[in-house]
Amino acid sequence: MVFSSPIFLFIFLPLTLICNLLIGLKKNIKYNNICLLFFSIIFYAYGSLKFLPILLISILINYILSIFIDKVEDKKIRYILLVVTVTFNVLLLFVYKYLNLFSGFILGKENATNIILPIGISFYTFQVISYIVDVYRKDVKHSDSIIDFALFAMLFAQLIAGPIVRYKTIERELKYRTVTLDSFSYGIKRFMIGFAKKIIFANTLGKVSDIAFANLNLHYLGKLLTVLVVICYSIQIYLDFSAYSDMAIGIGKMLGFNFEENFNLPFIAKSITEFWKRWHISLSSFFRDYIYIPLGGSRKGIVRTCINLTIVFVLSGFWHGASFNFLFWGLYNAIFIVIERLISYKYKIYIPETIRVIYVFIVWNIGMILFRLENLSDIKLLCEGFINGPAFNMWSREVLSTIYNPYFIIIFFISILYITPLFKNIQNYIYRLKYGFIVVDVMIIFLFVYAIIEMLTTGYNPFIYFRF
Amino acid sequence: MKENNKIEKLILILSFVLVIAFPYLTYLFSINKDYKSELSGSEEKVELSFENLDDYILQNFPGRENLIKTKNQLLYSLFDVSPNVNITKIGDTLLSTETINYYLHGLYNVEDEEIDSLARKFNTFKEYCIKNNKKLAIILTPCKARYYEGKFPFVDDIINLYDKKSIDVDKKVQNVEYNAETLKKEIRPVDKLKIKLKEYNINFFDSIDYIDNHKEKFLGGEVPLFYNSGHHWSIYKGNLLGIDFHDYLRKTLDIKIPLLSVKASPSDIAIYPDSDLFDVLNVYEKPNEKFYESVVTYENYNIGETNFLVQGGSFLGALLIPQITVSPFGEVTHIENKSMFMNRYQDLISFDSYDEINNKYNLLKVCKEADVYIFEIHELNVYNATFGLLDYLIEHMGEI
Repeated sequence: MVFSSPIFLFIFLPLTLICNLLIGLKKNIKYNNICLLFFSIIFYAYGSLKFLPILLISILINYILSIFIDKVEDKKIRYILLVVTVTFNVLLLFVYKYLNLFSGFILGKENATNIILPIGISFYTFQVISYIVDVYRKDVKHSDSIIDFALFAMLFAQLIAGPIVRYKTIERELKYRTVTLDSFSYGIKRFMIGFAKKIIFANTLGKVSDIAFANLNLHYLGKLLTVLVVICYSIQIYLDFSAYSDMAIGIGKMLGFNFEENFNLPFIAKSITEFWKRWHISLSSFFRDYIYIPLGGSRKGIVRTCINLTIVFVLSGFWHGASFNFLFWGLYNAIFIVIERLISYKYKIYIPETIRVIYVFIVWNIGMILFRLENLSDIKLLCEGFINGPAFNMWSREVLSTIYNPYFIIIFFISILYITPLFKNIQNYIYRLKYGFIVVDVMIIFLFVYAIIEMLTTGYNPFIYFRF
Repeated sequence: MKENNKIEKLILILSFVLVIAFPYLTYLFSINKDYKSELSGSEEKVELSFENLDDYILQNFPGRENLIKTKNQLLYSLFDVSPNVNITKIGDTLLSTETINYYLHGLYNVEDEEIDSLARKFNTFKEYCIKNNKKLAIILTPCKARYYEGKFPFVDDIINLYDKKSIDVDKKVQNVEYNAETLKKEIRPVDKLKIKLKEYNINFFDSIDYIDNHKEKFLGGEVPLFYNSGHHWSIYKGNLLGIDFHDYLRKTLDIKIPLLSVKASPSDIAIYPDSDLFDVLNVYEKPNEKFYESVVTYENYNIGETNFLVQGGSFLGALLIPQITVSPFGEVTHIENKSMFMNRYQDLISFDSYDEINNKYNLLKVCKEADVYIFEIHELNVYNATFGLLDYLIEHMGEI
C-alpha cells in the first residue's frame, strides 16, 4: 500500500486515525501502540503478505538479541552479540536484496535466484541496525516491550519509504505522546503538501522522464531534450522522495510522533558534501554515525578520510538498489566529495556561491543518469544521442508532445521554483500578511483536492522505492 | 490572534475530513447513485477482490467520470492541448501520436527480412487459394498523417530551425544528410511491402495510390477523407472508395458483389468512427465539424452466395460497407485484433487465441467455407504485421 493510493487515503488512513483517536481517549498508550502495530501489519501485508513473516521474524530476533546486548555485562560477549545481530541483519538484506545480483553476475544470467525484494527491507533493516548499535553503545536502553519495538521497526508511516527513524528519536513517544490541535493540523497540512507534491509535480515530471528513458527513445533525444529530461528526472526524484518524507512526517504528527526532517533544500548546496547533508538526511546521518565515524571518520589523516568517504558513498549508492549502476553512482559521488575534501584540505579558494550551486546542480544531474539507467548500453545510447545528436530531435515525438504542453511547462517552472528557497520565502511572506494564512491554507487544500482528482483520473502513479 | 489560529486549524482539519469523507458522504446521501459511466475507451471493469481493492476504489469512486471529463475539458479549453497523451492536437486536427511518429519515420522501421517474410506468407496462401479455387484480396490502407503533412510543426520548422544536416544519430554516423525534403521522399515500410508483393506477383488493392490518383474524388468535396476529429477515414469517403474496391474485387478476382451507390447526407451526430479520436478525449464538448452519413442504395442482391473471411479494422469496415455485409448474399466473418464478428455482425466474440475460437466456434469450418479471404494492411502496422489469422490459415492449410 502506498500513501498516494485511494485505498490508503480513503480507507486505511481514516480508519487508523479514527481508531487511534478513539483508543487515545482511554489514555492508555499501550492500546494505542497495539492499534498502530495492527494497522502497520495490515499496511505491509496488503502489498507484501508473503514478506510479512520475514519482517516479523527479523523483529523478534532483533528484539531478543537486543535484550541480551543490553543486559550482558561482559564486553566481549556483548561485542560478539552485536556482531552476530548486525551480521544477521546485513545477511538478511544481502540475501533478499543483493544475492540475486551477485549470483547473476557470477553465473552470467539475470534473475539467477528469482528472489524478490521485500518492500521496505532497506529501511527497516537500517532502522533496526541503528537500534542495535545504540543499545550496544548504551545510548538507549533496550525496549521493554516487543510491541513498542515492533512499532518502532514497522510503523507504517516510515516503513516503506523512510525516513530512517532512530529509536532514540521516538523512544519517549512510544511511552508517552500527545496529539494536540496544533500537531494534528500541522500533520494534516504536511501530509497534504506531500501528497500534492508527489501527485501533481513529481508525477508530471516523472511521466516525461519515463517516456524519455524508455530504451527506444534514448538515442533519439538530442542535446536539449537530454538535458531537459535529466533535469526532470532529478527534480522528480527529489520531489517524490521529499513528498514521501513530508507525508511520513505529517502522518507521524497526526499520530503523535515527531520524525526528523529528511530533506533541507539540497539544491541550494554549495558543494556535493553539503548536498548530502541536505539530501536524505536520515540515511546520510546513519552512514555517518554507524559507518564513517566507526571507520575513523576524519580523525586518521587525509588519506584515511578519503578512503572512509569512498567506502561510505559506495555503500550508500548500493543501498539505493541492487544493481551495479547504483554502485557506480555511489562511487561517482565519492569522487566529487573526495576531490572537494582534498581541495579544501590544501587550498582556500574563493568561488562565488552561484557558481558553486550551479556546479552542484550539474554534477548531481549527471549522476542521476547513473542512478536511472541500469545498463551501460543505455548510458552509451543516451551519451551518443547527446554528443552526436542535433540540438533538438523531432524523433522524440512522444517526449516532445509531453513537454510541448502549457500544463507541463507550468508544472516544470513551479517545480524549479520549489527547489529554491524562493518558494518558502513567498509562503512566509504571505503568512505574515493579515489573513495570509487563509490564502496559504486555501492553496494547500486546493492543491490537495486537485491531487486527488489527478490520482483518480490518471493511471500514472509510480512508486519509485520498490528497489530500495 | 490565538483564537484565529485555533479557528484556522479547525477549518483545515474539517476541510481534510470532508475531502477524505467525500466518497462516504456521496454514498450516504445517495448522490450519483444512478450514475452511469459515459467515458469512451474506458478501462476494463475491475471486479471487487482483495488484490484489486485499490483499482476497484479508483474505478468506482463516486463521480470519477465527471472528474475526468472536467479535468480533460479544462486542459483542452485552457491550454488547447489534447488531454490524452496518445493523441496530439495540431491546430484543429487530432492525430494519434503513433501516427505522427510513424509518418516522421521516428520509429517503426521494418527490416527487409521481415517484409520479405510477410510477402512470402501471402504467396504461400495465394498458391493454396489458387489450388482450391478460393480468392485472396489484400488492401493497403493509409494513415491520416499522410494527408495532414503540412500541419506538422516538427517536420520543416524544427529541422530547418535547429539542424538541417542531421536528425538522427545513426544516419549522421552514416554521413547521410537529411532534410525535410529527403525525409518526405524516404521509402516507408509500406512502400517496401508493395515492391515485395509485386515481386511475388501478389495482387493487392493499393488505396494509398488509388486516392493519390483520384484526388478530386477523395480529397475534394464537402466531406473530408479524414475528419479532424477522427483516426479512420470518414464513413462516406470510405464507402465511396469501397465501391471502387468492390469493382476491383469483381474485375480482378471475379468475386460476385452486389452493385450499389452511396451519397452523403448531413448528420447531426458523427457516425462511428468519424470522430473516434475526439471521443476518447472524454471532454464535455462535441466535435466542432459538419458530419455526414452515408446513404447506400443497392441495385441487385440476387447474385448467389459468397462467403467472406476478413481481417482488418475500421478502415476495412468502411470499405466493405456493412449494408452489404449484413445483406443475405453470403456469410461474413470479420476478425479485428482479438475480436471476431460472426453471423453478419450479429455476434461479437472476444478471444485470446485462434485455437480457443476454433474449439468454441469451429473457426476451421468458417475458414474452410470461406470463398474469399480479405486482409487489410494498414501502413502504420507493417512494422508489427503479425497477421495471426494468416499464420493460422497457413498452419492449417491441410485441414481447410
